[in-house]
Amino acid sequence: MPLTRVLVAEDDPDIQTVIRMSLKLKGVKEITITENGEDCLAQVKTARPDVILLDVMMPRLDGYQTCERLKANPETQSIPVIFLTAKAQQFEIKKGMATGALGYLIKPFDPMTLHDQIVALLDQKGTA
Amino acid sequence: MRRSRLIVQFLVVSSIAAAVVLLMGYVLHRQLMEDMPDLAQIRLITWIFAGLAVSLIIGAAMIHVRLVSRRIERLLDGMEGIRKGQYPRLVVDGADEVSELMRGFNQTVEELRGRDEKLLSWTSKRETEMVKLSRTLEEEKEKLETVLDSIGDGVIVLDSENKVLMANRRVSEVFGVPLEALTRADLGRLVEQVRHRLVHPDEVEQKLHELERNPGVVDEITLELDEPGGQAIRLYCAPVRGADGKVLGRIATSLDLGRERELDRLKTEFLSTISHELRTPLTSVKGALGLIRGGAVGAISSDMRELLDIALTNTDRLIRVISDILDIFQLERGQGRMRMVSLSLLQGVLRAERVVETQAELRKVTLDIQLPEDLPAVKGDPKRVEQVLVNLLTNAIKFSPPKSRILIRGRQDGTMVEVTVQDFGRGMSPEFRDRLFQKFEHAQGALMRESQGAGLGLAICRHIVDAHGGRIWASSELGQGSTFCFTLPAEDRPGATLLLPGGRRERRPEAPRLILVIDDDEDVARVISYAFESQGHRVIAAHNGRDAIDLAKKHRPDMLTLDLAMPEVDGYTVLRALRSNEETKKIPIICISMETEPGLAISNGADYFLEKPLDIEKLRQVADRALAEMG
Repeated sequence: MPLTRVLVAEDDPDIQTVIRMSLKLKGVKEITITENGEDCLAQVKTARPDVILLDVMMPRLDGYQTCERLKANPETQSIPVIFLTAKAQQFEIKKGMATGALGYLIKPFDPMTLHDQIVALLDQKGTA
Repeated sequence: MRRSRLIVQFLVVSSIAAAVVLLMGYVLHRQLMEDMPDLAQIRLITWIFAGLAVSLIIGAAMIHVRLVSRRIERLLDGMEGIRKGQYPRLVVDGADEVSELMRGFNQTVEELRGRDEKLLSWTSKRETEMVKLSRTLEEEKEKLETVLDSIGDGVIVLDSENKVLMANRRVSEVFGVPLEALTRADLGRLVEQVRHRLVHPDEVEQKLHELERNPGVVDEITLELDEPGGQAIRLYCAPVRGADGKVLGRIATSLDLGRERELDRLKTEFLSTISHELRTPLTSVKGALGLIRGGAVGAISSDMRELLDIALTNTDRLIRVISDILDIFQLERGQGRMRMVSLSLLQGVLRAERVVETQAELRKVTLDIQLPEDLPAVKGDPKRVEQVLVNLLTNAIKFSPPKSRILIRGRQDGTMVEVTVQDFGRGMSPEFRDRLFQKFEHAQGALMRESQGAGLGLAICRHIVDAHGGRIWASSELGQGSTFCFTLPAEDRPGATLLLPGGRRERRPEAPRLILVIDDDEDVARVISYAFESQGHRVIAAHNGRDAIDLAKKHRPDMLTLDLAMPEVDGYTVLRALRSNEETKKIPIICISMETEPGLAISNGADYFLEKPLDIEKLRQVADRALAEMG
């Protein structure tokens, strides 16, 4: 199943652009960009994404907390969450995965394979 | 021989007495010889002489005794004086033995006085020295105590029975025992005092027993206290040995790990922040360059492509340096946890080969893999083992001359499997070889630009191999190439399962196959390649029809996947070309297309047909079937 709707929580405008262009290039139709965890939680119901891409270091509400809240809410807990972050230390990855995320992608990423990596993660977990 | 004066005196008195007796005898004889001896006169004479003789003898004896006894009394008084600590001098008159004895006594007393005076002088000197020494010792003790107390860490000196000989204030604070009460206290008892605060009391107790059993070992005991503030103390115990090597006791230093942990936390935080702050802008750079290079904003000229490749290569290089720094930091702190599974070295080598393939092609270096079929599986972390192999292969490629080969071999050595990566490049000097696995070590200065790295790769390899219980080493000579070897623990059985990065286990194929992936979209080709590589197969890729036909003829793969919609020479043309060639006509072909109708592909010679978007699992199933049918 191809990706149709992706919700992104990323505070860096340059990276927002790269993610948007990278996914658009691979045929993702709806890409919703939010700038922090709170906005992401606010928009998740209207965006109805196939997957949520979460940065960790964000103002107001960080990625870990955002994922925890998404997973604690029965309405959003089934949406796959993938971290897309520069936090690359093992304990950070562990912490991220402990929040109930599906996967953990480390920045910098290859914009030409980002879509495939997301799909591969979804495939692997049988969610796509 | 010397005659005794007393005997002479005795003889004189005896002689006088004898003379008196003789005179008496003579007078008596004269009286008796007369005609009419007067008996009364005789009796009188006899009494007179006898009385005279006796008086003489008694008088002489009394005088003699009086003279001798008086001097002996003086001697006895002298001896009494000595007993009282005096040095008496006797008046000596006469020349008999007693007088000589008294003279001898006086001489002895004089000698004694001399010796006593000497002894007194020596004692007094020593006493002064002792007082000085004692003062010095006291000062030294005070200094030592001041130094010990000013040390932030605790110091305990123990005897051979683990009893405290000396301890500083910090120890008293840690164990909550007054400093005075610490002396002669038992280490076990002290630990007992904090037992209720220990997080792992049993472990600590066991460790203490071990130390008691083996007084000669150097060991550490970590006392994790749950309060206050989760304090942790590490007792580092080292034996103190005498000149004969016998263990006299122990010295234990307690280190408050709180500060160490705080430093560690700050270090981790700093690295995490710096890594994040470097990666974030690099994400934008790499992302923007990648999108332009990938044609997201339109077609690019070959010059632009070349320049973008340079920018991307160097961005990746920078990212690698950051990752390596983070990696070595984690491995050094033992945080790089290994996820040990049974894995096939062949799979690891093939994956590593795939990673360095482009680099090898650019330098026209051939990788010659010579791993024996019966090489046992190894116990290792697949990602980490691959990391070691990629590092060694990357280095070997960098330092190999063009058109040379790199030999990858493996063999079982007892309970270990030894992997060798040999290049035939310029080699290295013995001095550099010895420092090779240290951090930030590069090949000689002249090669630094060429080596292009932070000098962390081999240090990372060493940490990884060490964490697997293996060993890594290198042998090399200038101009003779280099050989890098490392060992990993062998598994009991030759067959092995492979843990994929995603965590799924897959059966290792009986033998890896060579698969040609043909797709003009490099990303799609990469995804398909990965699907097969993760099963242990070797993959070569072609991105246009012409290359596809050439590669198929050259390598004669066991199977190929073919994208039908390609510019210039399309998939149908490739299909027909392969089926009409003797060498390639029997190769199983899986066609992959956006079209939903497989008829045309099948009629052109395709064995299987799959629709895009591709279902990877389905592709694998079809590929397994195709390879099995081929035999």
